[in-house]
Amino acid sequence: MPSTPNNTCDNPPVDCTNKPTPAQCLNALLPLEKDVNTIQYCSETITGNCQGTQWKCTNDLVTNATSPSPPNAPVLLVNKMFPDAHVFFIGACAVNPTLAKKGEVPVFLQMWDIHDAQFDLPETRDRVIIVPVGNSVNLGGAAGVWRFILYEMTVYGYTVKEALADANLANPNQQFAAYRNTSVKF
Amino acid sequence: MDSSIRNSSLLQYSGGCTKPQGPSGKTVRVNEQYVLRLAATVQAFHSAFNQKLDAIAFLGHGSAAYAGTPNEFSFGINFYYPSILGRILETRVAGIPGMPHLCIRSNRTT
Repeated sequence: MPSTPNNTCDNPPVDCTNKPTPAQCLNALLPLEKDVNTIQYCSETITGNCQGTQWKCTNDLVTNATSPSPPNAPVLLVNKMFPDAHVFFIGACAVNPTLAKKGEVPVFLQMWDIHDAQFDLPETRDRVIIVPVGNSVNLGGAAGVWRFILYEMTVYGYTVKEALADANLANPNQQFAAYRNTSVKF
Repeated sequence: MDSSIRNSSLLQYSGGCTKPQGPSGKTVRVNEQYVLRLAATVQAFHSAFNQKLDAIAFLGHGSAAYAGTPNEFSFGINFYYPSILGRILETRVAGIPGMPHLCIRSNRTT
């Protein structure tokens, strides 16, 4: 008599004998989102061209789920996160979208403790965030760019600005942008 | 999974310590170390944010609104979690290997 499939998908499986089959065990994407109630629609530097409502959206139901308890929101829903890392690299789609007007802070960038002269104030701390430009990015390509940047920063001692310039020169089809303090170096 | 960084001569360093290099026994200080977090859970990501890392990277899917349209934008990032027969398991259990985030750490004090 077949036993009941184990209800975990841990790797390695907790119970290899009863490891769920692929049809039973599918990965699910679980979002970590900015709380839409905290979205700032226009930055302080925007005076006339802020569309504002373009950033309206709703959080995924799972981020607010209260069952099974405990509630998911404390883990999955954030206003702003405060990375202690000097360099924060994101390789994901639409985080720096083309619809953002000059001076507007894309919603995704609002998720992180970020200052940039382009948006509000110059960043004086050793903090920089690197994101792809545009609405799409090839994840393998992003990994290559990250590796390229790391290599130049660790081996050559380049700043983020210098390493990113080289990375963009080497990858003309996928540009990345850095915000905050681009003079950061390891 | 830990990995290592090569120097300008492409010698592979071990992370986090000093190590003799070659027959000369020359000691070279190693400052950087890769830490690839294969258990890419939200909790692990939160934890990484509370550490004094030199760098942290996320490679994966954004949480997009108006996906596939010119108005597409992301307001989050996604992590893999186990699902059984379409039911997402309780979110605070350990995750499965998914989209890794990568940290670089050294002896940072600030």
